[in-house]
Amino acid sequence: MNEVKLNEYLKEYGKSHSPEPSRVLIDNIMNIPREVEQLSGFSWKISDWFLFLVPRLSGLTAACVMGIYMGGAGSSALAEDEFAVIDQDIIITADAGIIIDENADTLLDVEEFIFVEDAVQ
Amino acid sequence: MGTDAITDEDLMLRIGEGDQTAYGMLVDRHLSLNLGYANKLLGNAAEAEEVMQEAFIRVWKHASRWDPARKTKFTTWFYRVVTNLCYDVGRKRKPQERVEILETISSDEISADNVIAVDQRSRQVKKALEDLPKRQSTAIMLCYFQELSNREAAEVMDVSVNALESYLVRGRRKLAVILSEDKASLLKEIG
Repeated sequence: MNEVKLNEYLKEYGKSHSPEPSRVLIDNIMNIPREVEQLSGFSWKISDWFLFLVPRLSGLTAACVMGIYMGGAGSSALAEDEFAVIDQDIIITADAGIIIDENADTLLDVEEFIFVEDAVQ
Repeated sequence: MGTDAITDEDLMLRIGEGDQTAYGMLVDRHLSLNLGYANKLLGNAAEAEEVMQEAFIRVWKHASRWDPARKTKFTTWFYRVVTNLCYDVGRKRKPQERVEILETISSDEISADNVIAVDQRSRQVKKALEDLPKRQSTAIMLCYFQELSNREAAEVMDVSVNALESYLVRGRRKLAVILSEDKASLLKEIG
């Protein structure tokens, strides 16, 4: 088969296989916006990005500032090798009162927080 | 400004903002042409209509993510969507399933005398196109029936222009052979 004949056949085929869309199809397609939700879009507007980023960056900055102000974990946590054993002399009296020896050093940690209680009662 | 002055890409941006009028205009521009394309690729009107519905669902859903900076042409993107959907439908078919030949002689230009002859030839071409490898038949459909340039068709198929031209040459050659064989066997049956 030569090229001319082939082109003729293809042209005929192209014409005979180009149906017009049915009314039902058009209606279904036109109803799509009412039935299908659009995906959230990626915005190219600078103002949208500004509104998106500002609250998030503010929150992040505030969190960082708070973290610096409160200090790191090393300064506030009591390390395992840093606690001091509290060695107190406790005197239990007859009337169920507890007396802590005046001379006892009550150390909670090595950072010199010393709590010395006088007699409870 | 007339509606023709608004490009498809502009319409996509408007659709992305939920503009249903823009969506209607885009449907009006592309439904018929792409329905014919899907119909030829699948050889089945019902499946082609399903493909078109799915394709326009994608248009509506993804319009908000249309990126004008990419400079992608809507027609290229849409042909690619329709082509891939048609391939998916073809893959889901059972191997033994043969699609009923759809014959819709729609052209009034064809006189009553040669309707049968045209009908017969169309069946032959349809069968021959179905026998071609998928990529060769797609290349022929895009370039001959949809009248895309080689570069546009190559973009739709995501291949180089050279590869597309190769598909076209091999496809046409094979098509000519199949149609010649059909003609010879028909003449043999008559004679």
